[in-house]
Amino acid sequence: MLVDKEPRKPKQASLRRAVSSAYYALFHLLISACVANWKRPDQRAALGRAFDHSSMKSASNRVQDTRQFPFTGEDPSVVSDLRYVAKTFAQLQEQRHVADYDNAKFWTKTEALSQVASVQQAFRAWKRIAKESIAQAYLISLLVRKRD
Amino acid sequence: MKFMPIVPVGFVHQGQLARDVEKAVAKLSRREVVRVRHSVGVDSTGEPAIFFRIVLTDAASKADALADVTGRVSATLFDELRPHENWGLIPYFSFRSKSEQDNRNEPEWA
Repeated sequence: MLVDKEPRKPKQASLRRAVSSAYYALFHLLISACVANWKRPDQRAALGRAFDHSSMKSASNRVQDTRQFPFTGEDPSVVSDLRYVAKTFAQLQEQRHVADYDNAKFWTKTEALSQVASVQQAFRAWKRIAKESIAQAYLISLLVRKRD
Repeated sequence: MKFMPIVPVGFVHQGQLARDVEKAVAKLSRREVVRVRHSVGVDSTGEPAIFFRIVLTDAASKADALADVTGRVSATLFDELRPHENWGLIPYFSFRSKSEQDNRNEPEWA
């Protein structure tokens, strides 16, 4: 793993890249899961380019709000996994922004590793719920911009 | 000129928020968490946010335990505080080990 590239004294560049790569791994996981529903495989890449980071973050934050999305009657473990994935996506996008653009920020190994580990957990959570209807609805919400 | 992120006055009652954070922190394990600091501002997309800086014990910061510990700590703060519903704030969590913070000695984490 990038975060372990220099075990004793990690370089800031390695830690920043680790956080950034972890975000993009989750970003691409969700996009590929969504476009896989599109019937024509040759058009999936083009559809994937329609996703917007900011809209995806907004949708992920909305899912965490129990007033907007109470998920009444849904399996609590599925809801918990979905909210974990959404929370991790929003969290990592922010951290990715800091890692890529804020050079004044000093990253410790624990800071970077904790972000990478949360993405690993999100991958496991997504695997458990990917076929659930609320997970599929979340994927669509990532693509569709909310109207005011 | 330096700009500070500003959350509209009245949007967040800082004193009440600090008390609620303190109550949530009291639910965390002392064996895992040394201290929690927080600040309110805006995130990279301009949304009001609360940023938690959490110093973990060195034992809790070990790589094999880190995912569980950080998941548990952030879930406790999230569930106790309900930042979206109660405060209109998006929560962000950062973790350091005690020895890392002792080496860096950054005031924001102290």
